[in-house]
Amino acid sequence: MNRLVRIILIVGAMSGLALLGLLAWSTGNASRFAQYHDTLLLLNGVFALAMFVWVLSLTVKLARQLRRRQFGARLTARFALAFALIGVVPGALIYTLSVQFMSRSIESWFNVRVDSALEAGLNLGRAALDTQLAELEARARSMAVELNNTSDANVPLVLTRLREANGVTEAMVFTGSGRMVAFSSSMYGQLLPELPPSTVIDQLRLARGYAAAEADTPDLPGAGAGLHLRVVIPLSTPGRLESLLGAGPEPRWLQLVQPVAEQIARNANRVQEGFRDYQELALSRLGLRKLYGITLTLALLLAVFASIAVALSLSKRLVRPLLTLAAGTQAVSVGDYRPLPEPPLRDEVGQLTRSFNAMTRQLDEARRMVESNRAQLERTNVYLESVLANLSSGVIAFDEGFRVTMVNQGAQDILQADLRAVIGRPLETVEGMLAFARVVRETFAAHDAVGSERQHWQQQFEITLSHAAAEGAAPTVTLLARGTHLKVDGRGNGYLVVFDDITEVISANRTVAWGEVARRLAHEIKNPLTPIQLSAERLAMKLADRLSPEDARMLERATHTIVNQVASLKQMVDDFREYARTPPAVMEPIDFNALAADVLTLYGWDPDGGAARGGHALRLEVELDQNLPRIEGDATQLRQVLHNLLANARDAVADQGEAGVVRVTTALAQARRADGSEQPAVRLTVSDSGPGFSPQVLQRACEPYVTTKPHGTGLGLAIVRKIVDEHGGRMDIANRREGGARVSILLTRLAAPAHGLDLAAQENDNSATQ
Amino acid sequence: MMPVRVFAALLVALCLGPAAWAPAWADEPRITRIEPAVRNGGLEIDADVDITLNDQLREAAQRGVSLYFTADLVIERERWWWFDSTVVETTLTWHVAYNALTRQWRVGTGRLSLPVASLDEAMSQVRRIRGWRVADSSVFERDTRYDGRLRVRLDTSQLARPFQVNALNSSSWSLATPWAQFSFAVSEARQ
Repeated sequence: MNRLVRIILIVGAMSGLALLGLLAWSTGNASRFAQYHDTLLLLNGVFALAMFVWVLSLTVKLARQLRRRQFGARLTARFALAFALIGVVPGALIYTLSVQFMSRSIESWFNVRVDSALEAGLNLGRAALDTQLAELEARARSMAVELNNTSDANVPLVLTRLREANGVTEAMVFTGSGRMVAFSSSMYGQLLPELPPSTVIDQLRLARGYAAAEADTPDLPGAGAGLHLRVVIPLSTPGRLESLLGAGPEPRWLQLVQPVAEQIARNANRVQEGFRDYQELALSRLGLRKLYGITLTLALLLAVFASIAVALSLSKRLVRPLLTLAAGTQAVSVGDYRPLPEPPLRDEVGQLTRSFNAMTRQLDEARRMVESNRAQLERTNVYLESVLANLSSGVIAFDEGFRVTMVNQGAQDILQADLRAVIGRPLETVEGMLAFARVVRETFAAHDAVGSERQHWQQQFEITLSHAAAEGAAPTVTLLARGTHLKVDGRGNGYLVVFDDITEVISANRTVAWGEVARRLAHEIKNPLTPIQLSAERLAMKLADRLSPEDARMLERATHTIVNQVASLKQMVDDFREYARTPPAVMEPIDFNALAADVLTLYGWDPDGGAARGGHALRLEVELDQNLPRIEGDATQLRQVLHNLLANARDAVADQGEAGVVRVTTALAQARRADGSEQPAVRLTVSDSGPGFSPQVLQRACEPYVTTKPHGTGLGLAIVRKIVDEHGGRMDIANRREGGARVSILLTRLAAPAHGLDLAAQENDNSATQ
Repeated sequence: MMPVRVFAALLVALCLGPAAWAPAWADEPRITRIEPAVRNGGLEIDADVDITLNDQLREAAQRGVSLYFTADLVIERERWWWFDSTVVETTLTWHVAYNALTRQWRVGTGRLSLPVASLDEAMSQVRRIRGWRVADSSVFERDTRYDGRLRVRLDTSQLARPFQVNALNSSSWSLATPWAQFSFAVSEARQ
């Protein structure tokens, strides 16, 4: 298709050039194409018109693209304009110059001097002919004189003689009616003489004489350049009188014909032809100018239209690859990285396209790499975030202005506050965080002020979470915080605080420490106690007889006091030792209800009656769940737990007399595991109607030597706590709403069910036999 | 008695369309009369043409430029089922020339030429067409109507090329009569 169009274009251009050449050729008068001049003119005109239509359609198309602001139209238009100017301006210049030059030169051909010279030449020829005519006429007159006196019969002879004597080529005597009287000729071939033509005879009638030069063969102009002279003069007839008198004899005429010398004739004819041609040209110079003008104009139009058309199509061709590139650029900008079709040409545009494709390939690869990097970064981020979130430590990051930039779940758990909304704001804006924030700020300021070599500070402090207070008492937590100034690229851009809730760690530490103290104390104190007691008893025994009864009573009282106090001290030391040196638990399946009933009996509870056995005994309300499963536990230690709890409860209600009530319940509970599933557990609750714990004590009730009782060692609950921990259970100490304390213990280690059933039966048997 | 068959042309119509309607321009060349006749076994045309040379042509002629006048004649026969058939298509060309050396005018058709006294005399040859034999009478069917048209024009194609170009857009060099229509039928007459 493209090839066909190209061939058609080439053929068109060639034929246009050929037409133009033929037209130029045919303007010459002598050209063999002269007769086709009009046709060529028409063809060229049609060709120019076709070119014009083509150019017009191209221009209109371009203009429409321009108006639609189609991409590339402006560049095409600019190119086309430039090319067209390059083509048109010189063409127009040459055209103007040629037309001017042509008209000037044509005008300059025709000047007065040439005109008058030719005229003079013509006149010269005429004059030469006239001279010869005059001579011939003179001869004719001399002949006429003789012929006048000659009778008709003698005329031929006389005529021949005279003709020969005068050297005339042809002589003839004829009458006015056209009858020939005599004829004489020097040319032998001419048998039948011709009478003079009618125009001559007409003139004779009017002018009584004729003298003129005539062309020999005038049929074809320019051919046969021969000339002859013809002179006709009247003859007076011999019978003049007769003619006058009679009916009028016809007038007679003498005609002499003499050919002009060939050289003169030829030259004269040449002059005449030249004159005629010159006159023709002079008359037709306007036509000549028109002729050249039209040819030139057609040439100009063809050239201009061709150049414009070529400019338009060339600019389109030039711009097309650029447009392709631009479209490719736009495609790249919207993310289409497909390569452009590369032109087969090995020119700069092709190179550009290849470079462009290479660029898009690289872009594509870079984009993919960035994409994968980003995905990897996101994964890393997610991983880091999950690590942070699952970290039990609290992590809070601040920027330079102490605005929070990041908080993890651990921090929220420790501080028991929802800090998700604080991102971007100072931590103080959250309720209850004032103390924590102040400590952090002050510590950072102090660390900076000290100018420590260490990168981080470490600080342990207690804060009260007043906002998280569930009922009355606000929990106080001990935090161990480490802070560091974040430095990225050698430039400080924030602070990081990592903190842990070490309340329980400290509590455990205290427990351990107290255990150690208790063990040493017990060891150191117990040793002298026995000698003291023995010494006191010995003193009493030895001195009792020697003293007066009064002194003996005093001694007995003192000794009794010493013995009692030593016993009390021993008890205390035992307690200490018990606490400090608890033997490892021996786990075995236990029926907890039986154990509880066993202990409760000691406090005056009757399992059959269900009520206290009267007297000063403790008023007990017992509720034992009969469906309790067997648990794994050390019976001795668990018994100790029950003892301690019941003793505490009893002490608490001791002042209330009949009103004091101790309530003991066991129940099957569902303990929630960390993964959300539930497991059966045994819950023991001991509550009393006493004064309850004071807030200060409640927090540390399980620590040793924390007691509200005047004679308490403060080890009861500590021991309970220790045993419960060893059994993997949980312990909760709280105040009841209606007054009094309540201690709950949840035992989660259950015995294997099948085995436990047998053991339960055995246990039942055992208990029945006791 | 052998019937002598003589053809006589019967002029059916003389239709000088444009000439009849345009008398206002006296200078406008036109054909004033056309007379076809059958003589001596052939169709001959007699016509009068009102044609005068303008000054430019006259001057050109007097300067020795040869002028050619051509009479175009077309005779057609109407055919209702197809284009009209052309029976006769012929031309007659006069050649008017002036010899500046001998100061003589000549006029003629074809190779024949006659000396005449003046340009007007030469033009009278063109103005009065007499006995222009255009065809044998045998080519015409009897009693059938034929349509003809005639015009006389200055034949610029025989002039020099610049004159031809001049004639393309110059009214003084495009001297021509409009086509004059006529129609006739040939009938057989007995004598």
